[in-house]
Amino acid sequence: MQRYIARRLLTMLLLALIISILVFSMIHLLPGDPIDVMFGDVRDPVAMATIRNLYGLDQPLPLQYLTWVNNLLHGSLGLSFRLHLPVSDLIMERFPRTLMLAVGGMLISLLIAFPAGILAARRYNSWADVAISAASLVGLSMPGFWLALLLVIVFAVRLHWLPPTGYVPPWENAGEWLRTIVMPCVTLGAIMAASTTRMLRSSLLEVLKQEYVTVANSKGLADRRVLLRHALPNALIPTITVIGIQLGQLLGGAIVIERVFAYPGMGLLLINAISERDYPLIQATILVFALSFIIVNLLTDIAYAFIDPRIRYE
Amino acid sequence: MSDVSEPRTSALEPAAGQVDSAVDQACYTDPEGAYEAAVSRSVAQAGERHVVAVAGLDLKAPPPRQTFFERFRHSRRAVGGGLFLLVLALLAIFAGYVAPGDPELVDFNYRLQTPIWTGIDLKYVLGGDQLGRDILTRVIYGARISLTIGLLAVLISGTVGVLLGLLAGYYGGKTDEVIMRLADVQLAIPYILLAIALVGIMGPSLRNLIIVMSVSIWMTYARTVRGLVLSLREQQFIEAARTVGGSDLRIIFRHILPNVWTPLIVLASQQVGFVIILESALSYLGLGVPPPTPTWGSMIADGRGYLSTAWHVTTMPGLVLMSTVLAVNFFGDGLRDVLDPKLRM
Repeated sequence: MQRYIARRLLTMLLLALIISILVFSMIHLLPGDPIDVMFGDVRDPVAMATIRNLYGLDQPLPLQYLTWVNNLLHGSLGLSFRLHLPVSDLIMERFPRTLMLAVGGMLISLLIAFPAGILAARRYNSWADVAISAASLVGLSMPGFWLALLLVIVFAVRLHWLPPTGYVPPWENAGEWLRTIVMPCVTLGAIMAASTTRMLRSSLLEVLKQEYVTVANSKGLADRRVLLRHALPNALIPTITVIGIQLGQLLGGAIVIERVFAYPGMGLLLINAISERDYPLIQATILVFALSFIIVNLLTDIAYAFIDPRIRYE
Repeated sequence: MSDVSEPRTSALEPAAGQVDSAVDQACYTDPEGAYEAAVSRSVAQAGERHVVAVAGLDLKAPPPRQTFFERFRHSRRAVGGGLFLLVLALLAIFAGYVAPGDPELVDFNYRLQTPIWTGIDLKYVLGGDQLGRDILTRVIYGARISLTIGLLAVLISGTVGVLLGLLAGYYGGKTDEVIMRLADVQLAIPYILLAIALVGIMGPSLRNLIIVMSVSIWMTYARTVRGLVLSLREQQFIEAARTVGGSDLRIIFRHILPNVWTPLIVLASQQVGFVIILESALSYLGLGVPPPTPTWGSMIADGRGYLSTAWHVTTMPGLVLMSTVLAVNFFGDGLRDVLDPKLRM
């Protein structure tokens, strides 16, 4: 297991390197120049050349890339063109906030998906199953940002229970913090719950058809025990794959949701960085997103081995 | 009877030798006709015996087209979803004739006008937006963008992904390694992130959006096809085709491709809904087809500032968007049940 993890970590580094090269060339080769954006209509060639030189943008591309990697290895992600702050500081401030949304969304989705998926599979073809299946299909068909706006209309505009936008750090006011992150988390959680419920339901139904479940039933075990101890663990493998993929996409989905709630996380940072051609910031945010995605995948694979002892990695 | 159920397949297994010879015979007597038609309808994921058994049975089966539509007609979800999409597509194509107004006509007398059922004014069925434009008309025109991008992106990414998947799976080795690593790298970046970055850099336009969407999802097809090809490559009918001197190209397109159609069609129909949602998210962020062209995502964004005074501006286009994706999902689920009952959820 340790060797497997070590090998995966090594591949991960390699993957990160390739991604960084791809992202770097993508940003620099496609049209759009940060200095043009910076200066807008005021076109002063001398000043533009000075700034270009200051940020090293007049260097050949491969050299720019090597400089960037060299700085990265020395723990520096560079300075943001627009905000004139170290990129690493910005990311250290923003990333935990987005992670909070993703984890909160994940918890909510599990709280919805597990009871719903189990109930639907247990009472197959009952009205509860039909209702749950229909609800998850609707959830799959709904764009997250639209659901977010509906929540704002109901809970902020009509009921005045929650603030429509904004963010308060938990150490300033824990109660307010909770109120600001409830709606973004519920949005992400609800969308994610839709596919998790569907997957859990169908894999449980698959498992419940198998002979060992019939054996467990005929031994006289209580339904509940058969379901939770015998059937559920085997239905979890495909479900965890879906959850793993979703958690990664959740980080991505948070970008749009952050915009709806003006939530100052990684997503807003990236959107602004792109519109301003803030190269160092774009590179770093995409790299951080990609790395977290790869780590989630690794954790998913390790989780398999814990849930199913038959899975061994060599 | 084309509907081969599990027990029948397994009942045939002991007699597989006979079936094999039946297939061989079909292969020699009519190498392109009955044999291929038969194999093409078998489920690609099934094991060797299964394929052979289905192929053997299907030689005596009625023409596939008839049974497909027959079964399709009985799937209420597929028919319902399909009809909805058909009507929407017709509305979008003939928007100039059927839409009640002009999508870009600004009329401040009808600014934030509430929908018809509030009874205040009967001019705009779904109400007016912040510039007094007719939301119903704009929703109909917006369907053009959503449907065009949804269909073209799936078509383009599907073609590219399927080709790459076929190459990777059939040739293996270095080809496989390069294509699949590329897919892995791209899979490590959340699709929406990539789409936002690409559109942000390339600039929003209909053409760029179609390119970006296609780039974002090709690897799903490549991976699916590769997996299917890997198992097909080792099967006897491919070996047979090679023995009788079939070229690689011929084997790939005449023998392998027909066997991977079914899961691909199902996958593609699901991807259309996914692309429509992705496009709307980009539009919502201001990275869609630029205004004044109406798109569902940008219409939803238009209503952001008026959630307390005129919530219909945001909810109406969203409802249409959701119903469309729901119809696509119904259609896809129905299609899956008809084409490939084994995958049924």
